[in-house]
Amino acid sequence: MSAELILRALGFTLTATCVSFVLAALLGALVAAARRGPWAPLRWLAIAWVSVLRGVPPLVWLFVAFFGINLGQAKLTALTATILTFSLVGSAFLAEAYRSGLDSVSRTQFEAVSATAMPAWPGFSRVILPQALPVSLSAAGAYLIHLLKDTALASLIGVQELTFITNDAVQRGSNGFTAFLLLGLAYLALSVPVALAARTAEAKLRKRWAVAA
Amino acid sequence: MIENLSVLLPGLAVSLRLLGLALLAGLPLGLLAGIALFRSPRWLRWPVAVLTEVGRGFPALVTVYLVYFGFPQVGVVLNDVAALTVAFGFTTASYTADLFRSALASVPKAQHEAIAALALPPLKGFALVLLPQALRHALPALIGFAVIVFQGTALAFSIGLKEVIGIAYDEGTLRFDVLPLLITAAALYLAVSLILTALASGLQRRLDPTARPATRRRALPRPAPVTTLKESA
Repeated sequence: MSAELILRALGFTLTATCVSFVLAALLGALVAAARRGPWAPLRWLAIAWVSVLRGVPPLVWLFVAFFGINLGQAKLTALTATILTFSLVGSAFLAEAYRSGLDSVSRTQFEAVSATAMPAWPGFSRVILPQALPVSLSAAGAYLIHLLKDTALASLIGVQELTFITNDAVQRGSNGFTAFLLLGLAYLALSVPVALAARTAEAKLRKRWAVAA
Repeated sequence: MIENLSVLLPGLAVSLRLLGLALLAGLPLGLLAGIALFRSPRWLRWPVAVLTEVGRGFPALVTVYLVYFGFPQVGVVLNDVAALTVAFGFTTASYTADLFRSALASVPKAQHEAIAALALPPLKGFALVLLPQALRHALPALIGFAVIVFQGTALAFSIGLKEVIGIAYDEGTLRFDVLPLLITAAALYLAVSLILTALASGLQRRLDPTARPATRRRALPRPAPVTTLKESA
């Protein structure tokens, strides 16, 4: 395996992970907002969105996106299908991450915002959000690592990311034991900085918005 | 839809069998590993901690490939079901070890003191007092995890075992129309996942009578606009 090949594969893995995560984070915020919003049908829709997307293996969604969607004659490329799948599936997981953050904020804080007749946005962004964010952030960090590992599924529809090129090498005669062991360790190594970054960010947020007890 | 369903149902049996095998292999191992992580001499705790990190840090697909394509290189040849049992069992054990460990840690300190106060032998105290409480505590999370293992059985596709998605893909390719079968497969997975999830939350409510149902947090009514004296005058 040439270094160039590995770097290209690493690029695919990281692209699929990062782009999906950013899109999922944005879409997930909308879902979480709908889930807590005042309009019942929208709330139901958000609940259905989360349970349907999370109730089916990502591999099935990946196949639906890749083999199932034919826009006229145009098919999605494997990478586009991967990003589409994980953005949508991720939005469900991240909506739950946001929700767990908001749920961790004491009810009295919401009441305080209303009682002091704070306008909605400053009340949310300056009272609720600072308390919710650390909790959501650690859940979102955990999901990012989960997502990184899930992108290995993209190899099954032919995205030439890390798992694909390793499997390819093994099918051509490389030692499967060492190759897959190294591959697994590579995923572990990639997830360590993510875990550290999430923990640091969470600690920073908590410190910045620490309330004197 | 009905016809598609009858095509896929044999696949569901395979998926459920894989789920059963994974839990059968993984849960006892996970419990042992959880006990080791909770309280054991350092020489045992360390290797267990490393193994569970590996089991959780490797993508499940990579673990499957490692067992199915890699183990034969070191002299362990397994057929597809056996390889999946080993791979899923290892992943299950790694994830549940931490569930069991935290369940054991959640047993109140007073219970440990009670064991000491009654001079129960440590092993007896563990088996009769701590473990039952920990298991009760862990059960809903374990069922929740079983949903994830069930979804993970779709990975059997990667080594050619014909479970739900394998059959959907093959049959769909023959018909030149994969989407209806894939959607039916998705519906099947969703149904089983929802049933298991409902079971978990039902159990949680029954086992933990102190837990109140999640309070609905609806937006409070906005306070009436403050009318100034001038306006009301």
